[in-house]
Amino acid sequence: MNRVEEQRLIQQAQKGSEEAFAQLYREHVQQIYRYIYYRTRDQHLAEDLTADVFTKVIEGLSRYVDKGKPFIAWLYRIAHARVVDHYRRQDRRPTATNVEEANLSITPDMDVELVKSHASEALMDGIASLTVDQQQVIVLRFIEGLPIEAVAEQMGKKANAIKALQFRAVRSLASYLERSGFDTESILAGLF
Amino acid sequence: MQYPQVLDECITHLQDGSWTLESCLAQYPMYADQLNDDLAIVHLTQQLSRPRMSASSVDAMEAKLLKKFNPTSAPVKPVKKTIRPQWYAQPFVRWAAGFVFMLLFLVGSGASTIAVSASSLPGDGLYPVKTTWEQVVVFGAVVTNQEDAVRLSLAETRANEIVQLYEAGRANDITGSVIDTFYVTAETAILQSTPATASAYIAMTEEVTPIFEQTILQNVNETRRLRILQVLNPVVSETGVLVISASSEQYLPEVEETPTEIPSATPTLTLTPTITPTLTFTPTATPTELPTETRTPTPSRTPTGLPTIVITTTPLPTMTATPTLTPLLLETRAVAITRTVEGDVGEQVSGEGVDDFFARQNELFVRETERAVELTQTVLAPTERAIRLTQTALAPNN
Repeated sequence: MNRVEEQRLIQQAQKGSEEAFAQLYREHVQQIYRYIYYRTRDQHLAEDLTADVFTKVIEGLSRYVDKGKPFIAWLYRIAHARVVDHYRRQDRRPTATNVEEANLSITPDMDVELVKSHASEALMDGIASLTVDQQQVIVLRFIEGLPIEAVAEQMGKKANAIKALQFRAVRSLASYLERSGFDTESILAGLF
Repeated sequence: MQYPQVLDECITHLQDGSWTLESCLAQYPMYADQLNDDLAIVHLTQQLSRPRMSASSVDAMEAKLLKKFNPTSAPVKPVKKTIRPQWYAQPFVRWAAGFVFMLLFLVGSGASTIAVSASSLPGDGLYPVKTTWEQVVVFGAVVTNQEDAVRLSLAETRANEIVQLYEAGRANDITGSVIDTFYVTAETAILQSTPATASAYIAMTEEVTPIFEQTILQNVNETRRLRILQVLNPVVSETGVLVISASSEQYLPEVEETPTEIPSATPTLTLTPTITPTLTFTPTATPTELPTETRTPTPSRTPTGLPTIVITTTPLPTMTATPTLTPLLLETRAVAITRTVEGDVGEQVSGEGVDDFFARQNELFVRETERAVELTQTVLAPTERAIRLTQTALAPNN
């Protein structure tokens, strides 16, 4: 969906078009769900919070003003707020403690697939521990596979800023994996 | 090219299949080790499953949402919301805030000055009021155990001030002092960080880093640039708090990536500023000892003996002159009398004239003798006084 089409749908939805809203919902629901899932690691919770996000969209749609940023950028901000709000109510965050409890680490007798599986688990926990912007870059760039310019447009930032965010996110993940007992050399040997 | 750009270039080429890992490492051998690790993470992340909501879940959710859908009935008027920091929710903090509010009310005009100063920037007249008030807030935060939140807030304020100065076209006001103040404030926020403030701090740095990269980071010297990059890129430790990144050498220019820079990247780099002030105390100790050395020669007693020498020399000329006159006078008188007697004997042998002559001569002789004695005594008196003075003067030295 290009920007012109998106703006047209937003205007129609603001005027009360259910069809336009449904199209916007279908266009972005999976992306928002994945974003929330990577932060919560809980499928049902991610679905509930995704529903909350689009409920907030309905409530705020009449006040929404297009400032040149993609519609998804607004959805990400709402999603972030919902996740933060959820964990504030729960008084906890899905941080490194989850990984430490899981005690995931590699041993010499593990095969590559097992290492990869455990490393993937740790990596997803690592993503959940990143900052909002870092998470967004990781999800858009590596999970959604968008080029850097598209990520920059979606996040309303410049390409260089996204590159810097990407670098810090990768270093944070590397550090997280290292603390969780994963040797990147062995992961590398198994993956490439 | 800096490392974040190099990493992105490799990621892009690996994604479109134009490069392999080996060709990427060969392209940038100076970053080979780090690229090797980072690209492994990237590749592993790309291999993660892409979770999707099931189609039935998507449909069910859509149906529920459409039941609620009525955007025109939503309140058009924006709801005014008071934004308060999270720490305000605690009762004691609210009580402390109330106390501060009362204090401000009593202060009156001072409060309005503080309020106006809140939007001031470095270089403004009211800026010192703002920073002084911040110190009061820090004190209150220490008392209420909310220092981490206030330190974070101050770091955000300093960063925003630099951004606002730049946006207002007041780049000249972004002095070295302003930059150093930001660095110190940000470093303090990192050191005081807790898991609660760590993510907020990183979010703040992500906001300002792109602006800093395009503005002040291009105009400061390498030392300041490295310091700023360090506080803009902290690492979350195992305990969830922030620490200064140890891998600061990656921010240095490519030409400076010589082995001499590597030791500076060790964590001890952050400790050096705290050690240097102790060295500055050593020079201050030396001047305090100098006055004691100047006091040791005390020559005040030696001049007291000198006047005695002056006194003893003065009487000498008078004493030697007068006694020599006396014998000469007597001798000449005696010769004169003898000659008178021998030469005039024929004329004056008889009668009373001879007796009178001898009597007058005798009286004259007696007077001359008495005068000589007086003169001698006159001369001797100062001599004796000089001797006494000399003895008195010598007495303390003995």
